Amino acid sequence: MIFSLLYLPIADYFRINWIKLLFLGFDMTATITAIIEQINQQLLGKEHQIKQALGCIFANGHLLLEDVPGVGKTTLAHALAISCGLSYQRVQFTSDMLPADLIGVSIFDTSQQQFTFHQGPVFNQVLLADEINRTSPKTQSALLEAMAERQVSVDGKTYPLPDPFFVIATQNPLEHSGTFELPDSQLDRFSMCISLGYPSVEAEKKILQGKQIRGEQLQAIMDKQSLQQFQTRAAAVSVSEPVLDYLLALVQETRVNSLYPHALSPRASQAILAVAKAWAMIEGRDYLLPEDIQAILPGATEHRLRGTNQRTGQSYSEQLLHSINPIG
Amino acid sequence: MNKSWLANQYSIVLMIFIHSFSLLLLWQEAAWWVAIISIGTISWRWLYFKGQVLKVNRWWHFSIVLSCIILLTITGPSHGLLLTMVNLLLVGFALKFIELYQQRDAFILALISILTAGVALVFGSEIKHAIFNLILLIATLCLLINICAPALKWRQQLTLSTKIFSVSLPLTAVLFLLMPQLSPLWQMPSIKQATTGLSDNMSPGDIASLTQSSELAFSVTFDGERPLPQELYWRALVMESFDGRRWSQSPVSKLWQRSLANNTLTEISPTMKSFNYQIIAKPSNQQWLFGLALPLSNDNGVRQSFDGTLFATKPVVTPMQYTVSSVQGLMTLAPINNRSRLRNLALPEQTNLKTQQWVAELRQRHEHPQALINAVLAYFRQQPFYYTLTPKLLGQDSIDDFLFNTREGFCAHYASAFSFVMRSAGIPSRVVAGYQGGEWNDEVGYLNVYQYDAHAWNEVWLDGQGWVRVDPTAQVSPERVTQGLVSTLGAEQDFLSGSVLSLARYQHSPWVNQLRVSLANIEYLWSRWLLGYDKEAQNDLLEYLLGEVNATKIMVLILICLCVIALWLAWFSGFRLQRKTYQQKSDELFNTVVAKLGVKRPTHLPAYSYLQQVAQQRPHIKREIALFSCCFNQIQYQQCAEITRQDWLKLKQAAKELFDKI
Repeated sequence: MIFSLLYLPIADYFRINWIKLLFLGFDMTATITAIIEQINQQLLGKEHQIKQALGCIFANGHLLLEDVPGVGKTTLAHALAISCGLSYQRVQFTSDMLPADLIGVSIFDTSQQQFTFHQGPVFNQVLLADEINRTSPKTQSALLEAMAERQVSVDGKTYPLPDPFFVIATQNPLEHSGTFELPDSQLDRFSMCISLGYPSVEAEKKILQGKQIRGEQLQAIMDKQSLQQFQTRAAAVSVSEPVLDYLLALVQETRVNSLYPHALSPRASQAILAVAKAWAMIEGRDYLLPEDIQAILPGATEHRLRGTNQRTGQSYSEQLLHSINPIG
Repeated sequence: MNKSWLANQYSIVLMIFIHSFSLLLLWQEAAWWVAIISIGTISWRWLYFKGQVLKVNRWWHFSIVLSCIILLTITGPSHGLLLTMVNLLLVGFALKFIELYQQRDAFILALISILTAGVALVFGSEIKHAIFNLILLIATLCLLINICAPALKWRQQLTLSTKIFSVSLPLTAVLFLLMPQLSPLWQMPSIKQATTGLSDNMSPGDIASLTQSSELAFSVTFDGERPLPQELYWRALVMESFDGRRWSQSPVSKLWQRSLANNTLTEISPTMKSFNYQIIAKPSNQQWLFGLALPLSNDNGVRQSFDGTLFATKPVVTPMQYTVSSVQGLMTLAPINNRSRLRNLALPEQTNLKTQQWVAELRQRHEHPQALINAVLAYFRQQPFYYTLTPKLLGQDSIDDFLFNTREGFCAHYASAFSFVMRSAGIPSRVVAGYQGGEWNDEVGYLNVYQYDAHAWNEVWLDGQGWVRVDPTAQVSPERVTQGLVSTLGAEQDFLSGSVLSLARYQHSPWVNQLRVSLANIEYLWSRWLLGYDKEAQNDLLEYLLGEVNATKIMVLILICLCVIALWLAWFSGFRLQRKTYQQKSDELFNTVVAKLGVKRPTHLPAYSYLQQVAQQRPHIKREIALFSCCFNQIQYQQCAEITRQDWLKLKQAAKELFDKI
């Protein structure tokens, strides 16, 4: 303690942030490292995606996991919810699902002679919406208000959702049979869309050897309070003018250049900034670098720009990344 | 070093334009071989830019320079010092194109171009020269901007250079108006040039066709009353020597001119009527000046000759303004003395015998000189004499041939013959060369006298009357004197046939004439107020502004003007002269580091990632790179604390260590 008191002014003088972090936020970095470590042990070799997903949670955004079946989408969603110590409920979306199945339903209580609202699975801190695109657009839209406003309205009454509230959804790629395309409005409400991809050969070997930890072994590393601390901290990451200009240039490019079929909305730029800040915090910095934006840009824009440039074979987010000079 | 301007087609085109334009400005002064060398170097530069030729190797370089030096030395003596120096400048300008590899070279090119613009003003300071100079200077500014900021579009560069130019105008105006006009520290070597219009000798028999020039000779502004058109005989020089073919100034008056003596016999009684006027003489490279009889001037640099003409103490190489008052109806104040009488009676012996015989007969019939003059004039009038600008060449005895054979010619023929006849008859006579008439401009109120107004007439000495002006040309073609040359020739002869482009040639078209008059007005105002702004005009202005002029007042005035200009500039630039922020500085430093590292940065890569990449490639400088990128990120992106000078110094130190390691 005395040592740290001596060291702080020196660290402050030299502005060596990692030293500051070492003394002030030791437990925080440790927490983050621990979470990443834990999930990484279950989902081998996907550290970058895990960090992105965590960033999304710290930025208070909803997460969409999109990939072919069997690469561990649900596993990641699970692991995230558990590690963050949040109440969660998994809902398997099916084509015959109705909005009431998700939000809840008012039932006439004969004992009290009135309708009482029975909360659906959405009233959890984390809603694991598995295979979200298997359900009809009607049910998908039921999530709109919940995701944006963090509240639901039933029978003219508005019920607030718990805080924090996240939707972690998984979906199969559109080409797979029995899927509905998510409406644009809904897609835009997901801060990030991460695809996991196949594991590397070594990682798969370890999986086959059974070296990963199983779901029931997962522990809650954070609680609600520490998650909120992380969120406020992430929001407080400072953003300098050049970085902001860079972000604006990126967003502007999609709007000006006719190459992009879908432009980025202001909500998108807000999401990018928020997630980038969280990323910077995970990286142990209290200020934003262009690198932070670049790290999360594909995840934050892929589902909004949608598709690949047929001519170059680059995905639009990648192309966007390569078209703007972050310096000057 | 940023060399993108060298690969920039626009900057190459701009350089070529600047060079060709300055060559055109000094076209008359440049030697032909300079133009050839210029074309050579320019084409080489263009091909080099296109990648079709190699660098000029050292030996070629050396031999080209050597041959230029040799050519300059050979042509030097015939060109004179000034033209040699001008050619040296142009050759240097042209040769710069083959050693144009560094930014420094491009700057030198721009500086040479500015110097050329200044030199071009030595040879002409009319409006057109000023406009050409302006174009050249703006193009040069564009080039300078292009070197420093190649990323700007040409339109932006042009706007910026025009802006810079207009911002500098008030300062120029103040300097022009208030800067003390010191006499030059060095004298311009006199320019060897052929003169048009008036010449210091006259041999009418040898001219088959008089080339006319519509160039302005001088402009006159009268104070008060104007003389009648037939009174407008502008005396320039008096020719008293005749060798049988050629009239020229007498050695005595040449001596007088050389001694720069001033005829002080100026006692004018106030009852005599006199005209006061200012003349702006265009450069003629001669000493003679113009004035109506009898011209008197008290200006500095103007002298009066004993034969009633004015001359300048130095050849007129720049427009010269002077004030004259002319006593009407007086040719000279001094009575004729014996020597002068002899000079004005001298004739070459045994020439033009036929004329002499005819004069002897005439003399017998008319005793009185005036009667004799009238008889000769009557002869011109009654015999079929024609006024033409394309006379036949005259034989050995030119006067005989003219009087009795060809009978056609222009003023010089008549004046020459008349003087000869008078001298043969024993009446002192001389030829006066100058200008007759001029074009009134009523809008602004001045008279323009052009080279085609050049004229020659006679003066005879009559006892009791003094020198009397006689114009024999007026007998043959009276309109020549009352209405000017243009109307005399009319449709029969092609006026100004030599110069197709001259506007004066198309005077019959009303709008062309209107245009010509407006241009002349502008030119006049330009000469009067801009070129004519000399020491005295400056003094007048200062006296008008300040009352009594003294050094303190001038200093205060200049300081006030400078302050006002400084404020205006500050306002104009929106106080943009702020210091660069540390972020801008560190950006620049980063660019330097990228250049020094020699690894091209993919445009989408941020500084930190880029440096990490480089560090992976070169592990031996890993530590330095890490330090630099850390400091760089702090300055650029860390906003929670204010960036201090210390941060900047740290970054600089890190960069220095990095450079040392490289």
